[in-house]
Amino acid sequence: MRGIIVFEDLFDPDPLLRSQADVWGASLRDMDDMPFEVLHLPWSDTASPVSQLFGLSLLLLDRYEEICVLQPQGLALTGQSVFFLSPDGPKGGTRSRVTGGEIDRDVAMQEQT
Amino acid sequence: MRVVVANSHIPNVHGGAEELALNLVTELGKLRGLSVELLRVPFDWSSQEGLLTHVMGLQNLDLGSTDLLIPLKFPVYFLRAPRRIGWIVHQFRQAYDMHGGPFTYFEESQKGDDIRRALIEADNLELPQYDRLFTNSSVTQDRLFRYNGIASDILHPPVNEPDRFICEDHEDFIFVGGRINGSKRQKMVIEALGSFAPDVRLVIAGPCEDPDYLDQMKYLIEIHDLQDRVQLRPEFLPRSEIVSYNNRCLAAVYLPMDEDSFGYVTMEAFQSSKAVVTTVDSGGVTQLVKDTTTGFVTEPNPESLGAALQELWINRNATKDMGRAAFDRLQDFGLTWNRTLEVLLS
Repeated sequence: MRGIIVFEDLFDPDPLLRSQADVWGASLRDMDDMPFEVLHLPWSDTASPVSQLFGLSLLLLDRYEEICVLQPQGLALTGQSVFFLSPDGPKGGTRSRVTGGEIDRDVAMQEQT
Repeated sequence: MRVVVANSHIPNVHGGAEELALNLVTELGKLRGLSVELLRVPFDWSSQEGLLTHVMGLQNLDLGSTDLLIPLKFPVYFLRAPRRIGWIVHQFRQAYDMHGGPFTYFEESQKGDDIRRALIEADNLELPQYDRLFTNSSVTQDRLFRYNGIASDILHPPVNEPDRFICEDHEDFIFVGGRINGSKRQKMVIEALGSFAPDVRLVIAGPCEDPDYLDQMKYLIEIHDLQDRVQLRPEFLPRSEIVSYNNRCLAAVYLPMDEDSFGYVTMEAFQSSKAVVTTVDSGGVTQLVKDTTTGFVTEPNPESLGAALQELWINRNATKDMGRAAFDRLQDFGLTWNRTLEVLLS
C-alpha cells in the first residue's frame, strides 16, 4: 500500500492539494499496480514548525510499503521508502527518493513519471 | 465548535472502531450541526522500541483551531487539544491483559519490561487529564480501572442506520459476518458444520485480513465436502449486502476471542431480530447474547458449537422466538445516536 500524505489545517483544507494527491496516487498506481490511499495529517502555520517537524519524524509509518509527500514538511517523515512528489519534472512530475530528510536528486532523475 | 474525531489507522483494516469513527463524524454533523473532521493517524507496532517515540510524536502535533478532540484508541489519545473527551475503544492491550499469555508482545527482558511499564505510566499520566472519559463497554471500563486506576463511564456505540435492519425472512442460511481472521474463528464454525451440524448452511462474508487463514478455511471446506453448504465471500461488502444478509438469515454466528464490546455483528443481527450464537470466551458479546434466550453461548469447540447450530436449524419456531427476544434486548439499552451524542457532549 502506498500512503500519500497531505499536511493541512484540518478545517481549512486545500482542495487543489487534495486533488493533486489523488492524481498522483492514480498515476503511480497505473505504473506499478500498487494501491494507494491519501491521508491528511494536521499542520498549523501558527504553531511551532520545529515541534511539529519533530513530532512528524517520530511517527511509525512502516505499515506502508511506500510513503509519498508533496510538501516540504513531509521530508521529516520516516518509513520503509519515502518519496517527494513535485510537479516540476519534464514529463509533468518527478518522484524523488528521500534519504535522511533530504531529496536524493540523483534518484529523482531516474524516477520521472 | 470545531471537532476532531481521531483514530489510529492501519492500511487495509476496517473494523468496528473504524466504523464507529466514521459514523460518529457523520452523526455529530447531522444531529448537532458541528464542524467535524476525521483524523486518521497511521500506526505500526511492529517494533516495541518505536511505541514510545510514536506517542511523543503525537504529543508534538498541533491540531490548530480544533476546539474539541474525541479520540477512540491508543495511541491517538496522546494528541493535544483545548478540550478532550475520550471514547476509549482500545488501550494497547498487549501492555495489559494480553501480557503474559499466548499473545505476549513485549520481549522477555529488562528492556521489554521497561517499555511496557513506561507505556502504562504514559496512560496513567495522560488519561486523567481528559475532560470526560468514556469507554465502549464494561470490559474496557474494567480494564482501565483495574490496571490504571482510572474511572470512566460506559457509552455503548449504537447500531448505525438501525432502520435498515428489519427481519424480512428466515431463509436457509446462518450468517457469519465480520472480518475474516484467526481471532474471529471462522474455522471453528466450518469444523462445527463439517462434523456436528449435518443440515446447516452458512454464508461467511467479510473482508479478509489473513490470506493464510482464508486458505485454511478453504481447505476445511474441501476436506469436509462442504462446498454446497458454505458460501464464502472474503471481501469488503457494501453496507446494503450486510443489511440484506442480516435481514434474510435464519440466525447469526459471531465468535471473536475476548472482544471488548458487544460487536457490531451481534448488534446488527439483534436489530434484524435474529438470534446469535457465540462462545463463553467471546468477551463483551456474551453480555448481550443470553444463552437459550437470545441465542446460544457455547463452549469454544466445534462439538458444542455444532450442536447449537443444528438446534437453531431444526427448531425454527424457537429460533424465531429467540430472534424477537434479541431485538427486545437490544432496544432495552436505548442505544440511539441522539442519546449517545447527548451523553458524549454533556
